[in-house]
Amino acid sequence: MSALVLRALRAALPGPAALALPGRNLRTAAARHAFAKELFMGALRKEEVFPFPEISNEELKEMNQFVGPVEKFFHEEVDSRKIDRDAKIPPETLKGLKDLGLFGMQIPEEYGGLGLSNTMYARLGEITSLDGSIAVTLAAHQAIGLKGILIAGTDEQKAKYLPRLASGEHIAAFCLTEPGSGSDAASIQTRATLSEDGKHFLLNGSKVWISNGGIADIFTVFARTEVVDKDGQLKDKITAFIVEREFGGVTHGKPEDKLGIRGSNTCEVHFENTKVPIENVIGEVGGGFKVAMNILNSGRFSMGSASAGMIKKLIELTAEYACTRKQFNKKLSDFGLIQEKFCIMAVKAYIMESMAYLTAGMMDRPGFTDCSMEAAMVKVFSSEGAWTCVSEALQILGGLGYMKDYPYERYLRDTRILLIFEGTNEILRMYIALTGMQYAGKILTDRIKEIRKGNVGVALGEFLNKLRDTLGRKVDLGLVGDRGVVHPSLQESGKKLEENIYYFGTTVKGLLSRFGKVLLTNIFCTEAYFKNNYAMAQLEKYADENLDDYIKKAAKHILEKRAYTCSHPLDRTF
Amino acid sequence: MTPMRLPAARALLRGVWGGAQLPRPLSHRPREAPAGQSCEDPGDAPPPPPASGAAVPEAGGGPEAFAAALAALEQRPGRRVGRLELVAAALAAMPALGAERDLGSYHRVLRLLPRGPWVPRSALQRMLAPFPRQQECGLQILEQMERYGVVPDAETQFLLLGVFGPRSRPVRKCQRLLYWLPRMSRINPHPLPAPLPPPGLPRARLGLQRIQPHCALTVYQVWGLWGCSASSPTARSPCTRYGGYGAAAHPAPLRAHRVPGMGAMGGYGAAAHPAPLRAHRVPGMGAVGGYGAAAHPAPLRAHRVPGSQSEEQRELLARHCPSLPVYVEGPFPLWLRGAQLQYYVLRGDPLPPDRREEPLDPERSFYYPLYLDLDLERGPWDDEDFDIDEVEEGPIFAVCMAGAGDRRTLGKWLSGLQEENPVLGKTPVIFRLNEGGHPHPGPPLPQLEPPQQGQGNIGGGTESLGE
Repeated sequence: MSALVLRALRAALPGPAALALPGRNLRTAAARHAFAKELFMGALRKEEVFPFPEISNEELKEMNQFVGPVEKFFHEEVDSRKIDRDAKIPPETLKGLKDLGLFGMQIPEEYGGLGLSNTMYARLGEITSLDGSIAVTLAAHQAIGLKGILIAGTDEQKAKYLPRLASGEHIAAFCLTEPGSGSDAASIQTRATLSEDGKHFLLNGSKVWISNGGIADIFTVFARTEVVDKDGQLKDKITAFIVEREFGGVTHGKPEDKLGIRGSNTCEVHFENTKVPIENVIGEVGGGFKVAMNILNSGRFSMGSASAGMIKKLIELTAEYACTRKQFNKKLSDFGLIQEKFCIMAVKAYIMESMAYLTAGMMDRPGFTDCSMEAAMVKVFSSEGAWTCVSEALQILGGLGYMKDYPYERYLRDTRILLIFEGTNEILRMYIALTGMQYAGKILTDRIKEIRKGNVGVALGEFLNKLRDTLGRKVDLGLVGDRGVVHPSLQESGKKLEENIYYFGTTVKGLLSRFGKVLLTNIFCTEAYFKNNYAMAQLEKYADENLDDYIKKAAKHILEKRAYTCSHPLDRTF
Repeated sequence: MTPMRLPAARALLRGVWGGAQLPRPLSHRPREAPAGQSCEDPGDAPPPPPASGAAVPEAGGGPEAFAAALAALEQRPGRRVGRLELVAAALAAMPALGAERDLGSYHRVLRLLPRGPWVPRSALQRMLAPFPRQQECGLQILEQMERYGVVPDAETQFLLLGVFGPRSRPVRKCQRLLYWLPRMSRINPHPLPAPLPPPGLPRARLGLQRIQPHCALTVYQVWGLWGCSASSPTARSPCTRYGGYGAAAHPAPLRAHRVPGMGAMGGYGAAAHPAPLRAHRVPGMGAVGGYGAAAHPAPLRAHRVPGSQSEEQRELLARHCPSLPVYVEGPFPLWLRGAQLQYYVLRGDPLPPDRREEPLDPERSFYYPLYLDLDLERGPWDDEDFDIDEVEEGPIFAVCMAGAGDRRTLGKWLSGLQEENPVLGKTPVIFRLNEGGHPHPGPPLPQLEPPQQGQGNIGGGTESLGE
């Protein structure tokens, strides 16, 4: 119902609405190196991040029209406590979500979805995260469950499956994890064998911990298939399939009892001689690995805004408590240590949403931008930040935060999963570090090759660089100074940041030239790690924001309004 | 005024307290001590009573027996002379009595020494190394404590103070022991239990646990004729007993050992056990006695071979190419404090380099690149490799402690292993016994010649396993 209204609204809006997804329609330009990889070279592409990606006023207006009803629904109709207690999302709530069109947020309009850009998706994620179970159900459905069809499916597959997925009639699930296989593709045991007539695959195996496994009708399943290699050998390769429950042979176990996000459905899914038609292969046979990687890499960026939304809500709740609870005739909010906690929460929320919308904005730009590294950074930072903030909030609440009668402990339980799913933070850290190193290594190798070929210009440049380093250069990446892009009040921090980036680049270069070829995944570079930590600590220590006065000021703002007071990144449009 | 009076006061005090003793000259020797003192010059003392050695009631009586022996000595009439020899003999007798780790026993020995007469009287005397033999005796007590890791306590120090006086050599040694021994006693990260477990299966188990600490232990139970008479010290006694029994029951039991195969057992034990060759695995140690415990009354005895194989070793063996042989090697010695065990290993050759590590599949990790393919060439000045001689060793697949290192027992061990490692059935096994140091006195294993009568080693069995 409401979805229809929304769609009508969108259609009624002039011009810009059609341009709401420029990123997806115009993906023809060459891939660009994104911002985060350049950091590993000690460089800062400030044109990527300055100015902060903006959206037009029309888009903003349109977005607010989306946000209003969803916010209303979540505040009035969703009973998180009941969902958590019963470990089930009630059907009427699910129906409301479907009516709002939340099951097809990123599905293009021609397939019946809302066709939201990444930025808008992140914005809505901020609201859906008010209930962890619903957020996870939605994410498992569209961030990973149907993403395969969306990014690698053929037009027939899209036309066949997306409309019903967008309306929520069918729910999708993503089946990758197996009892013996988490992130290791080689240990996947589920097998798909081609039938004799060559028209079907027979799927056999079982998957564990599948979100939505019990309620889903469409599964994206990864299984081993035998593929003839380039050199004519038979080889096992991963292939992605779209599997309908109707195909038969699909069973699921009973829902797992979990610590948090209890309302989301997680269970084992077994496939026994499930007949999958050959048209249901996503991508090509044997190309499932890339599909899986792309799905996983593209699904993470929204976690930043989701965590920020949750923390903002938590700030409201705890500020209310801190301003009413009195001890020694003093309000809790008058105590410095409590104020500091509010400041921490606000700062983290600010960073999280800034990161998330920055990344979403980058992804929405025309031209294909590989933002998987930025997305991984957002995920790592925001999940850990959310955990810290919830813990601080519980600290403010004292014993109240520990009681099941109050909603706070549920936030703690729900937040814990953020550090674990969609790639544990440890694995993502390795992803970030190694991908960055790989990028830097390639560039360095190319430079060396150029020099060997006799390119005097490059050699001279390198030499001058080294000379300037030894003479004690001043790092200037263009953030501060006369023509700097950061706000004058942030000069000091900007300078520190520049230095930090530069020395990070130097460390990476040093490491690469020291270890060269033997740099393998399991090298844990303590030295670089501590250097970086030290630099970060310095940065934090001298940042104005961490001075007492600033903490007091920020906390006062929050506690007066009893809410997170910074303007939303998307509202800062001019 | 007061300082002037002091020497007089001291002299007075000495008169009151030490009146029975004559003031000694500086060059005091024990010989000049007045008769009646308990201090005796060991030089002209009568030979020490043979009691301390002879009074040993029975070996290994423990500290009580030692105390009883010393008490019996105290009861003997006559002068108490020859204390130093007495102490030396007591010290020598302690290990035999099993009292060498008991602090109380050392205190008893220290109480044999007289209190007082060996304390130097003045600072000068203390500087001139007084009572050298007596102090040496005290030092020997402490050295023996040190050797056995007995930590002295306050009482030890008190006794030594009484005998030798403050800052004497024994007292200072005692202080050093007090400092070091508690530290040293915890220095071993893998300590052995204080009394070693009894010889046989428990001790073998301990040995295996020290070789492969985190492995489940399996006891391969070998049913069969067990007649070797001198193959292993641990298996000897039950075996000889069994031999006697067999000899009484059957006129020609020895013939049975002579043939290594089990064919000769036909008329002997096959009636009792229809499948005498089967190896039974007994998981857990509860029901298992010794190596060849006499718990089995039937003519066929269970011979138990404790062995261990970890999960990784099982995987390694499963990956082993069946066309390449594996080797059974041993026996190798393993010392547990004073006891020696012998173990055997099943190992293979080092893998050829191409089979050693599977090439990394780039499409393996969903989340991060598994390796970085960088071609950062480095200059000759960047050579950072150490000069290392790498000794290639083959993987070790399993370890066992066959009490008798004969080929048949090891064969049974292998057939037990085969139950969990089917690849062994297809792999040729080569026995390379008596290499790597030969701890037991049997002859080298004959490869083809018939076994020697009475030589004990049943070896020579040419059965090759797993075929």
